[in-house]
Amino acid sequence: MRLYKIEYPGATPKLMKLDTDKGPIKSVELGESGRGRVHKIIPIIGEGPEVRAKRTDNGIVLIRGNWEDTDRALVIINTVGDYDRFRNYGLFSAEGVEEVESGFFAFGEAGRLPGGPEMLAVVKPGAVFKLNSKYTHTWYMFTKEGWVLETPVERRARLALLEVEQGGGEWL
Amino acid sequence: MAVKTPHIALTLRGNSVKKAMRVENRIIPFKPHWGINRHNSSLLASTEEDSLQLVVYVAKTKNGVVLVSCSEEPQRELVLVQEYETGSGAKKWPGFRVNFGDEVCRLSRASTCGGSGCETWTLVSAPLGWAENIASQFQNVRDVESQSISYNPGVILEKLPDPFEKEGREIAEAVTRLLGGSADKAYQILEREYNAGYGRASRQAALIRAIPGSEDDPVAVKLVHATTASTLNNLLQQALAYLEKGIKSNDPLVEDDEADGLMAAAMRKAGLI
Repeated sequence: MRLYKIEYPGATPKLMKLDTDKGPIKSVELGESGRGRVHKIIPIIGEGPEVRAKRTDNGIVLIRGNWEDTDRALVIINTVGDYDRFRNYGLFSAEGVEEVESGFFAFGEAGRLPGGPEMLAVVKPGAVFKLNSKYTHTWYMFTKEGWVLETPVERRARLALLEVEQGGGEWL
Repeated sequence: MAVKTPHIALTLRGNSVKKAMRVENRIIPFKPHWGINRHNSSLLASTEEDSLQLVVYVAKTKNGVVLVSCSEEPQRELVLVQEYETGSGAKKWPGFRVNFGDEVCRLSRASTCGGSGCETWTLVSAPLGWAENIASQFQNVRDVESQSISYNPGVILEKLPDPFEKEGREIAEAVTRLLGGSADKAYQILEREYNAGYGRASRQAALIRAIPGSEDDPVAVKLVHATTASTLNNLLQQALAYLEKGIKSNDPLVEDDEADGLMAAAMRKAGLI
């Protein structure tokens, strides 16, 4: 499975490089440490271009290898981004998304201002979810060809056209 | 079989009725001149085509309105009503509101959410002649109060002259002249800046760059040094309307003798006549 990262709501998912100039990455981190927060470190072991998540008694491990037998993908989703006073953070209207592990970001010294999760999830083709950003929200769709991002207006336009194509709607 | 009513697509803004509707990325975009629209998630309408024909069929779905081009005789009007209250720099100009009566069917709506001035765009299905009736009642004159206009089928008032109409026409001619007599090129440049999303100063700088000699020309200088965004918009709008009329009718862009002389000289210089 390929490993993607969505750095903040509205960001395009990027394929994570497992090998850097300083050598292979040893782990991925979710959330942050501190009061009212949850920090998780997920180790990466092995060699290969792709990863697979394995659940053990002591937590999740990502194992590298040639896992080309699946069209699913792993994705790290940061649902928070910047602070916004009245925003609901989280993953909304999710379908085809299986959460594997999650950390937690919060705001304020005591972590009591609104916060949200950063999660590692498995997505299968056709998966769809929504992330809120400051002024709008963004729809993410994972397909066999890759990721498709839509604004709310674009999504409604596509669905309206699809409905008419399928013979729905009311003609004036 | 479903009955489809052909609608003529129009855009109504104040006293102007345009026979067209703008399409971007297969969506009728909400691009207000006043206010800000960053919170807006309303869909006015979508279409499968990159540009709409003048006559369309209209479908209402639970996700929004869909427009499909057709080539039949229109039986109703599909009007994009652009209501507005002017903002900073144009407070003395009247706002434009419409009282929608039972004669129209409101299909979709998008509004601004702050900033200077505000706009609400509503897509409506209305009887033929509705938009022209509303436009003819609106007085776009400085120091006149904002108006809220109702459809009055018995009355088609004679339109008051737009204060920018004459200036817009002169500018259209001057720009065409500066560009060597090409009305199409003038239209393209002015339309690009009219639709540009950035501010007045940047648009004026772009116009100066695109139209050689515009900073020294006594007529074009009105455009490149317009003191408010509203004035620049109005001048561009009128210039475009005039150019469009000329291009469509394939007539020379001039009517009076003096301008005819300038135009003819420019066309001769360009080797067109």
